[in-house]
Amino acid sequence: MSLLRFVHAADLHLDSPFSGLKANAPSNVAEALQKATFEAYENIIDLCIAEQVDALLVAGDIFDSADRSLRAQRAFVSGLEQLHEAGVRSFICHGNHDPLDGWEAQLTYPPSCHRFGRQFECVPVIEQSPETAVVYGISYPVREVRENLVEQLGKVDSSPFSIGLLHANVGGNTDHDAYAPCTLSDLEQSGVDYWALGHVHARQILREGGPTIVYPGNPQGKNPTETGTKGVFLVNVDDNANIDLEFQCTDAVRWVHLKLDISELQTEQELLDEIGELVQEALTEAQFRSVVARLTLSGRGPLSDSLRQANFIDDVRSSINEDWSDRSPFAWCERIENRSAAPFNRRERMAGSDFLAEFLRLCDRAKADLQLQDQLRASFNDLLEHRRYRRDLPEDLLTETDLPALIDEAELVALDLLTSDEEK
Amino acid sequence: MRIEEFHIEGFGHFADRSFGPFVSPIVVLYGPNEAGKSTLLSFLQTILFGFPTRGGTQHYPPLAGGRHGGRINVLDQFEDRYSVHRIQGRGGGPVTVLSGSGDTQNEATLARLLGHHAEDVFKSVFSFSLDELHSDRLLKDENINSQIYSAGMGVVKLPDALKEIKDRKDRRFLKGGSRHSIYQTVEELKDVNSKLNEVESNAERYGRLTERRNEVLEKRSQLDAISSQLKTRLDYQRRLKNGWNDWVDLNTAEESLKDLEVITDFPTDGLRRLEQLEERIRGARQAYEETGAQVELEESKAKTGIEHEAILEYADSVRYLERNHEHFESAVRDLPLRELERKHCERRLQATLKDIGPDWSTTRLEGFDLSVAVRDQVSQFGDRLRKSEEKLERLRIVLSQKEARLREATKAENTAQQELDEAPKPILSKEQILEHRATIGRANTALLELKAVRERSLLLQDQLDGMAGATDSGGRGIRQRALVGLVSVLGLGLLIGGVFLGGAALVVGAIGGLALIAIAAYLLVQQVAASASGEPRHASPIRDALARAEAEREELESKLSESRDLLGLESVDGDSLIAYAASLDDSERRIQGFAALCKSLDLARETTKERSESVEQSNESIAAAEAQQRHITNEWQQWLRANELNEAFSPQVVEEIRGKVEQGLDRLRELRDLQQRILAMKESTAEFFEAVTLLAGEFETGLNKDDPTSATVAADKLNILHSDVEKKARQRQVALEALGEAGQRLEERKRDLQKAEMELKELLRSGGASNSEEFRKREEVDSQRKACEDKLRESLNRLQRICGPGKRLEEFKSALGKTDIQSIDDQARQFSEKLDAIDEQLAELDSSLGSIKTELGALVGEEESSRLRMARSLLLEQIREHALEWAKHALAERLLGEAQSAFERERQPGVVRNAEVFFRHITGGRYDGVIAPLGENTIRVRERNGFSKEPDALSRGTREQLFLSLRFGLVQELSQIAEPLPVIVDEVLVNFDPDRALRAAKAFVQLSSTNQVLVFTCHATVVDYFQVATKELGSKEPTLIEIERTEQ
Repeated sequence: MSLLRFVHAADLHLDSPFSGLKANAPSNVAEALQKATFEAYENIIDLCIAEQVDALLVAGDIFDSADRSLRAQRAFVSGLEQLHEAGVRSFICHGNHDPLDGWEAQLTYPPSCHRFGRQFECVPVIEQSPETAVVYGISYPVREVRENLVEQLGKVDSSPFSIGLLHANVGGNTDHDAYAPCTLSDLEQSGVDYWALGHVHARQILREGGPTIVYPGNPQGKNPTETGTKGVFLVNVDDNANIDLEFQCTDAVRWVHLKLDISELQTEQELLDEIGELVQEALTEAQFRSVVARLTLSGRGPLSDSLRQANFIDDVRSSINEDWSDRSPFAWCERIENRSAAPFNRRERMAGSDFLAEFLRLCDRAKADLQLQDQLRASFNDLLEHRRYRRDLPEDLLTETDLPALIDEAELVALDLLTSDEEK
Repeated sequence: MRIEEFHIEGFGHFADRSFGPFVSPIVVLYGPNEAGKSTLLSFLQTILFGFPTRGGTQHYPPLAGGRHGGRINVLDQFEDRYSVHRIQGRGGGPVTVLSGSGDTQNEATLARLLGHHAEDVFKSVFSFSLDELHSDRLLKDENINSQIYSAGMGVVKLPDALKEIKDRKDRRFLKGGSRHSIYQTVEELKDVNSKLNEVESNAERYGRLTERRNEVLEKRSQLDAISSQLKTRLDYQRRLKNGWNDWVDLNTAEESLKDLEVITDFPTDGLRRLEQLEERIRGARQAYEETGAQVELEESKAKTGIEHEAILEYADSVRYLERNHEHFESAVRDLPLRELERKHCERRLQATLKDIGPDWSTTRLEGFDLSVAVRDQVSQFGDRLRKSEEKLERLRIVLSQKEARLREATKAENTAQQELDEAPKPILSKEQILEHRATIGRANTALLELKAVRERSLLLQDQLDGMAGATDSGGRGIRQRALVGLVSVLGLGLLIGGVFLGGAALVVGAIGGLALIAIAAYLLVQQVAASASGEPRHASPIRDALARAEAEREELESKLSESRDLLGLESVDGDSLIAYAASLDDSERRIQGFAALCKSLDLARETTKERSESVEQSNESIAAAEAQQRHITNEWQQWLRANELNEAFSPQVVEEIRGKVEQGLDRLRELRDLQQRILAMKESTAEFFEAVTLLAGEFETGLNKDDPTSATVAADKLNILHSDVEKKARQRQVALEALGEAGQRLEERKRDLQKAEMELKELLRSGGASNSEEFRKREEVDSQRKACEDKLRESLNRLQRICGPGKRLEEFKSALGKTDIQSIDDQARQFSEKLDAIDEQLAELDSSLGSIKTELGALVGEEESSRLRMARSLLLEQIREHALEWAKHALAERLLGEAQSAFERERQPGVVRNAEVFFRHITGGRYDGVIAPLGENTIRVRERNGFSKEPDALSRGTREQLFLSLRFGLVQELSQIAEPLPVIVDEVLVNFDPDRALRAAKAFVQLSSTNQVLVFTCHATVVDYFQVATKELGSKEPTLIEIERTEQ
């Protein structure tokens, strides 16, 4: 017998732009990408109504306040109104991207929606039956919350069934900002039965049972690194407070990272055919969702030379996109990274006494010598400290660049030009 | 390679001239201008590498005679001597390379001697003049600069690579530029940011618009309430106005009804019905009168009479005359012609009968049997007689052919008999020949055996003699050995002879030969044994053997005498046996010839017999055929008799008579047809005339009974009269029928009139009127009353609809009764004006609300900000990408530059290092470095003070010293990997100052330790330099060769 059914979502980031895209997408793809976060949210609303859950819980970062997107806030409220009409309650807390002091449009939330404030509150999940379950939640008053919010909650009562709704970095996840940092132990000792967390975009079940601690991840991938299935958890709590988690996909566009070894490929047509097969597989796996793909080529083979020709990679990408991007669902290749190996035996060449050997040895020395690296990095200042651009360039431009990796690429550029007619 | 000497057969003005030997490693060839130094230099190049492939004959032609070419003697690095000889010819001229021992070498040897260098390398590096020295062509030669700049693969492309990298880098970002990617992307980013700022201000506007919207909605609600009240009141006034006219009509109708008489049950639609009945009565009366007039007219037509009406009774006769009118006319016209035709037919029939035969009549003609059976009989007789005749003819021809062939066979038989009689008869039979041949074989065998036995006897006798005498055994041994050799040779000879002759001789030869060899072997064994023992221990067996040999000889001689007798020969020996064997071959050939003649005669006799029998057979066949022919002829004659025909007639004649009979019968039938036609014509004309005559009596026709032609005119008249009477009778009949129908219609018109008059009377009665006038007045009163009642009812209905149901009608009527139309209009206008004012205000509010809603909707739903944020994200990523690309190329440029500097600094190629030593030495340390920049086809020098210079910045002398040093460097480098070649220079020191010239000469002396140096010069000072240099360096004094100027 089911005590409670609810959907746990987080990090909707409605209407925030996709990052990491290099190429301009064709209009149908751009439109789909702009709509993707909204469609994912609509999928969540449809899921709540179809599953007749008791509540929807959203653990922060619903939208990016800094974007001041009316469209995002209006769409969000509209979804909540639909839930209200369907008799589904909603519980929301705000995170670092949509803190309470952030900009907000003057919209009216439906009565069945509860937005948590700057202090922990305890609210019954079902208004008419407060003994069934309660939600403890807190919102970020400002963007940067550096204190452990779980400490504010203290120890909660063991009954009724309790849910904690929080936007936080548990266990110091280095991929995300360390907002509202807390440890797994803090959560375990709070007495809450289910921690509905937000902030980390990768889906994680930190603990199953006593208590259950879950990051559902974002319902729609936002950049090329957020690959694979994205969605929410449909949570079923039975009379004995046993929790059953069921992941549900909600993403509208899926990010995939395709990898292809070119060693065995003889012709450009074979390359295109292989890529076509990979794309088809990705589409099939995405189950009728559109796919944005990043392709990495590796290995060493007959095509290595062609791949290093100017524009060849761009031509391959165009060819793939001509084939796939105007379909429905579409597949769009946003970037091809050529990591195929150098067209000759580097170690052998380095052992020689000619100029190439000298150059290769210098490259190796540069990758190991930090002092030399500082000198090389200083040569970037022409751009970074240019008075005309410095205000408009991204703050982290080239500062966090992996210099040895960049030296490898520089080496490839030079070798390519110096040895283009050589017999490999 | 070192040149020892060279000999010119003919080259330029040199002929048959030798130079050398060149003892010292340095050879100075000294001579004035025009002495031929350049010619000698060219000679050496030409002999080693060949004449030019085009115009070789013009290349220093042998002006002083001799073959165009010459020879160079050289030593290789292992001191092996070779001679290279070349004269002008195809493909550079044939070259001969001989080793020191005079062996001819292949071209690979020459290539090895030349260090496998191409001609242009030799000319540029090893053999050069002043002109070439101050040119930098050396650096542009691919073969050579690959040696100078041997920094490894890829370096040739370094400058291009650096330029490409810089281009790529600058396309991403260039300080101070505005066409690079980062500049353009940042500009786009600024634009997008600016637009985003605008779009984000929409949030505040959204709040303000929401407040304004709420205010407008409140005010609109208040105005709506006032408007609603005014609309209700205005509506009531409008209803009063709408009902006013009906109210007036209602009152008027009530007044009118009071003045009109009440008429009950007046016929419905009475006036219209009255007028219709009056119209019907008028129509019926008019029709009745018209029908009466028509009856009178038809009656008068039916009573009219017809003249000659009696002719209608002769209608059949008149129609007969009409039908046969033309037939009669043609019969009267044709009859005489048909009579003439009949007579002609009779004459032709008589002629046909006469043609068949004298006793033929029409009766016999008709009795002649023309059936198919009879015709077939005649035809069969004809066929049988013809075939019988043909067969007889064929047989007679065959008989004559056979008789001719029989004559030929008889003649051949006689000839064969004659040949046989004349041929020689064989002496021996076949069996005798075979026997004689066997005898010859046996005699041959016996002869050979006899010869062997005789020799064996002699041998044995010798042995016995040897044993008997005590004489020198050594001499006997010699004789015995000679005997063994003789017997062996004979045996072998017999064996070889048998093999050579073959046949029986082979058998005999083999046996005899082997026997002799066996004897020889035996003798040899005996001899060895005897020589070993030295004692005549075996005399007894030898004597036995001798006795057996004698016995064998006698037996063989006996056999031979038998053979001689049998063969009938005088003596038996090899030659006589061969001659007799040849005579046996002749006998065999004679037997074969005689047998062939006998066989020919037998064949000829057989042929004669066969042909004679064949002639007999033909004669028998002819007799049978003739009997058959006679039989058929008899049958035919019987048939002719039975058919009453002449027996001499052939079937062909009978066939002809049959044709004529058929023709006669056709003519007889034709005549009879004609006679019948004439008779029919006569009968029909008589019948026609009789019919005309009969009618002509009743009606006037003008017929002349004697003139048949008048009958046709009379018949025409009768025809016309009959047609006319018939037409008049038909018209009278039509008039009678019309009269009957008109009478019936007259009765119907009368009934219609009476019915209408009755209906009128009934209508007047129902309307309470005695006549039509009165009926019309009563109908008018009734109509007026009904109209007033209708109007009253309609007015009430409309008022009810305007005011609503129930008691409201009475209230409405009461209200109408208390007001007037002017008051109603005034009230309505006032309300309407107030409402318009309110509507205007509402419209303004609605418009305002609409724009607010539109704007709010746009703000909430606008996608511009999404698009811009997306664009910003893309641009930022592009900037990152461009920056990374820029950084990557900046790194590549920097690293390549660092590597290049280090390489140029630390790792100059061997050629350049060698050249640097020479150059430093020649310039006395003024310049201490030669640098080959990586990938560039150029060279630079470094002064002692560290400054570097391009070659163009040097003085001519110094530049020549640089290029001389470079060549020295190249010569040393190349000599390490291949045969060191001689360095041949022509006036290369003339532009050097004395100090540097001496230093350069010393450099040459140093070089001569590895490479022979040949110096051509016309300057005595140059000779001195080399002499001083060798002296100072302690080297061998140069070989000086003076070249004298020759008169040309």
